Amino acid sequence: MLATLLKNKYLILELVVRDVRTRYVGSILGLFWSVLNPLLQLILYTVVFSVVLGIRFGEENSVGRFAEYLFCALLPWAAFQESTTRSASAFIEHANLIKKIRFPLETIPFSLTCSACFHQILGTAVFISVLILNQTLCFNNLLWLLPIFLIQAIMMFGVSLSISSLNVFFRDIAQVLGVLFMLLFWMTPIVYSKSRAPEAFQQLLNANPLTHMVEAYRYALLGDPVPSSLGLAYWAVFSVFSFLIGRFVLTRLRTSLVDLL
Amino acid sequence: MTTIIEVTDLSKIYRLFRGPRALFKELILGLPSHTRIDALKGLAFQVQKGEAFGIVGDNGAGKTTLLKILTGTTFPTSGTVSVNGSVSALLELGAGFHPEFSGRQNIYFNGAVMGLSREEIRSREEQIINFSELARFIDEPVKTYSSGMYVRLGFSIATGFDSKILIIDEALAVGDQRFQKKCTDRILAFKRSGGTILFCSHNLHQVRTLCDRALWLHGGEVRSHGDASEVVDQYTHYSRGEEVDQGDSRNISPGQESLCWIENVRLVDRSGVERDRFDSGEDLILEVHAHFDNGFEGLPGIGVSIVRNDGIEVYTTSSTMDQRELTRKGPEKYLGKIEFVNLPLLSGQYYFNVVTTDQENMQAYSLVEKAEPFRISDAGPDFGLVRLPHRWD
Repeated sequence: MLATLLKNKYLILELVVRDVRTRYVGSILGLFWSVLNPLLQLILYTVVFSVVLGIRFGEENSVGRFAEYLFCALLPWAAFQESTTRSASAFIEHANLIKKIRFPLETIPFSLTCSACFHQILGTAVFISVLILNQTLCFNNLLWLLPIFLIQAIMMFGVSLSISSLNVFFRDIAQVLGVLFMLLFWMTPIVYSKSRAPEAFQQLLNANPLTHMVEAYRYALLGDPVPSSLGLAYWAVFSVFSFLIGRFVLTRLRTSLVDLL
Repeated sequence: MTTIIEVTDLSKIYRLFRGPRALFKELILGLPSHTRIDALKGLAFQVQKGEAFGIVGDNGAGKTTLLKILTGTTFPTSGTVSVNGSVSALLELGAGFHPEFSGRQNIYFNGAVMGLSREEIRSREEQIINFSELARFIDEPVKTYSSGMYVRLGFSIATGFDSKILIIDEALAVGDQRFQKKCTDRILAFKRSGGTILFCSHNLHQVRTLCDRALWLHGGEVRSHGDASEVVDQYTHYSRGEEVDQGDSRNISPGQESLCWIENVRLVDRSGVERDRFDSGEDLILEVHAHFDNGFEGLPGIGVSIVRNDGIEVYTTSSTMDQRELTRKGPEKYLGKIEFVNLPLLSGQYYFNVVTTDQENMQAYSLVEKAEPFRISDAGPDFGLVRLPHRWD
């Protein structure tokens, strides 16, 4: 699979560039929307949760701090959600090509993952600049961002592989994903912090690999306390397994998938 | 000769599911709920390097499925396919384009799918663009192209990389006549340079002209396989109508009160040997033995028609039209013997309709239908029903 991806690196690059470009083609602000979108989302969440509902993270009490915490989690979350939901319809959208030529299937979920990552990197860059301005960036932990990001990307690719293949067989998956992500959003400490959650609920949160992803990002960018290594390991293993399962699923379904499109 | 494509015991089964619930029932609950379609059944053939190999057959015979398997877009259910060389496919022209990509990007995209490196593609890019005559539009997204432009680019790409094997599915209708000529030339040049061609078409004349050998697929099976013009002939006979054989001969027997009937019909060659296969231009002799009652009023006569198996009546005459009398062979027994000298029929399957008649030629008293079916083979390049005497000035 990796060899196929490497062989088609230009195709992937073209798909990603195309994808990023078509999203903003014709819009006046262009790529800026990639920054503006999460920013608007951030403002909305901040107003609702912090100003209206008065929710706070940890001991900190400022609205600005809440926004930082929220954004830190929202960036990887949004990327994960985007790559997964889009991968559901990916093969169906490319049915014409897949049926007509020997299309390297894995390039499609991979390029979706890449373009989600691209938007995340862009958002993170903006976010880091804001943190520097606020003097709240934790420079010491910043290097951790790389392995964390890598684990996240592998997870996204793996999940996309499975979802894109399985959705050809069961197109209800695309529908289920919408509900599932809503549920998952609240089961991940994005708009709240895990430490503030009730004891019983924390167990549940720990079972969610995304919890550890969010905590890792908060550690690397905001200098939160070091997340439990067990949790991190759990997430990393989950990520690798997602990839292995995704690869297995695509390999198994590749031959029958084409005939069902 | 080296074998470049080898297909062994190839079968393809499509499972058709009536809706997502059927799919769920089968895949998750393990209850079989599909309709099975045997697209290909135990195919076996080889294609040699440098050969042009034709594939003919009715719609739904499995031609496209076979080509798809050979190009690697779909996969066999059982059996093996080995293709030793790079494949370019002209399946549906332009179907392999990414509509959002520009023409140039699609050149790279298709090249990459064929397994070429970026450098290899770059070295061909210029030439492909020139051949397509689309230089002005090459950086526009192909979704803005007209269908003619699509097809031109598709052809240019498929033939623009030095593939070993070119697979063509009904794709020679490319653009205007001038461009079509360019394409034909290119395909012929490809063949001359030692390239292997797999050509699938309903245009039997093209298959006959281009291909060395051919395969006739029928209902997912190989019906015939061999020399292209032979296979095309067989397929033509078949598609003209049902096969006609000796058993189909029907004697519309006379009623009790009938005064005459045909007793026997024989088709022989010049030396008197019964045959049912002739070459175009041979002599055919039809002997008709008939019974004419003494009470038959009028001149006993025999009428003969030659009919092709698709029902086209080639020629009808009778002894009385030609003002000839039958040979009397005994009491109430007559023999009519008609010789067709240098019969100029072209390849196909034919039969005779034979009637008893009288000098008025108004009434067929009794009739033998589909008598003595025979085949004409012809290796000539011209085609049609008969070879008409002609000359060029």
